[in-house]
Amino acid sequence: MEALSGRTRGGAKSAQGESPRALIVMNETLGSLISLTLQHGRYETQRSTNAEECQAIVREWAPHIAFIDLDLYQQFIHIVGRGLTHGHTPIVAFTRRRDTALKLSAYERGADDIVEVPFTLDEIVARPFALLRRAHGMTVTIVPKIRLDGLEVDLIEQRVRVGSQELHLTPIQQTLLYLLAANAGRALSREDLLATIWGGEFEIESNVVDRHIRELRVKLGDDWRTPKFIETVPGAGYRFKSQAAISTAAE
Amino acid sequence: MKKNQLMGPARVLVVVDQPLANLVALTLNHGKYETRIVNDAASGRAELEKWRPHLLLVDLDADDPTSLGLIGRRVANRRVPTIAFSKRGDLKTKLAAFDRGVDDIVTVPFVPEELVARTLALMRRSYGDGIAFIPVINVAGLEVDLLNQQVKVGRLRPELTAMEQALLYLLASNPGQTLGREEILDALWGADYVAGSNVVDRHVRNLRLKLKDHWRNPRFIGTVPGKGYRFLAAP
Repeated sequence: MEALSGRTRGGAKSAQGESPRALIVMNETLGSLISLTLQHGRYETQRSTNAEECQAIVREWAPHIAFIDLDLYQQFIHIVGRGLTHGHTPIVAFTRRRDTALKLSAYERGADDIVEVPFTLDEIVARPFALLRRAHGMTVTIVPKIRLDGLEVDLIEQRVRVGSQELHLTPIQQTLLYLLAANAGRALSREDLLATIWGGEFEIESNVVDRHIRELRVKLGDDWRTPKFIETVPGAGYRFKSQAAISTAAE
Repeated sequence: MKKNQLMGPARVLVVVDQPLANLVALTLNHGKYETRIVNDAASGRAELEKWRPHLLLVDLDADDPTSLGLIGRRVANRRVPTIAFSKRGDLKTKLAAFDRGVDDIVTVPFVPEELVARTLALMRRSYGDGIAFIPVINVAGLEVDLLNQQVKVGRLRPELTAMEQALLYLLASNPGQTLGREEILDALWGADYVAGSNVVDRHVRNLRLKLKDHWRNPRFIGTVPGKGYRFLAAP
């Protein structure tokens, strides 16, 4: 499939060939998910939740965009926004709270867009696409397909290929798959999964995670007794099995 | 950039299907807006020219694919600040909308609070800080406070969760009309997230408790057996 790319506005400096650099200020679970999803835009990513380190990254690495968990690292809007010497670095803030006052104040203090948890992966690709063009005249190349070990996923068509088989995943199943794969080798608890995908205020039954894992396994043809992809770790949660590095598929 | 301050209420054109359009219009009462609802892109185009709205809200998942063409149209030599609604998971449509210059996207399903925040942020970006935010509005005789997430019922002020508030707004904005469980589920949760669950019934039950509404003799939310729920029109 041909990569999609947007038109650049007249007069804007084009940064063809340059990978966008993204700074991610989030805990490990969510940060890994965002970092993996940004492979759909060929981003380089760095992660930190340390104030001094973030200042150094902003100064020396000059990220084009920053992703900040507003609920945990609110003060980083200030830190990231402050260290800039060359124009504006767009900030995408994440929140689980339905709090208009908090959001308006985040916009005022320099957030350019706010992503609500629960979100699906399309937002993580589309919102920065718009912000980078607005702020830097940069056209992000969208890579619809990436490889997660034995799986090839297509975010545009919402399909996954396992061997010769093509499956259709719902947005939530796709997000769950990415979250597990992004944290491969590490068991994620139900609480982790619930908090990252559904958010605190979604008010759903507690077995919703198990139910979605079950559906995802059925689609992937994964047997819970001898799983190829998603293992159950008794008392700890679920773990994506493969340890191999995640690589971008050749176009 | 020089911002054009508004004198009166901002005109908002809503190109969205029902029952979402009514939910959108009710939610916009949290600001000073004059809203007009049309349900297809052709009427949307006509209203853009004639009525010259200050803000365009357009649903890209409506049956009419030409709705995308409403984004980025200049009216009287001005671009119209625009927010598009797009379904969860639909990356293709979101990229196309941003490519055409849409200012922001609200992913459906949404809760009223998100629409308020995004609308307000865009309006202030476009027309200055004078754009009003009204935290407390009247919903079918109930005083709802968006900031404190409370509703005034007699002398009580129970807190509503974001989803209970969304449910209240959706039902109250379509008074007298029966909304099926599937319709409510699609509009507020997305069937995908909670497939096969009784989440709608549970939320209706909780909301009724908080509103002191008895299911046998309801003042607000009536049950339509075998169909769904209906907000009772004010007498």
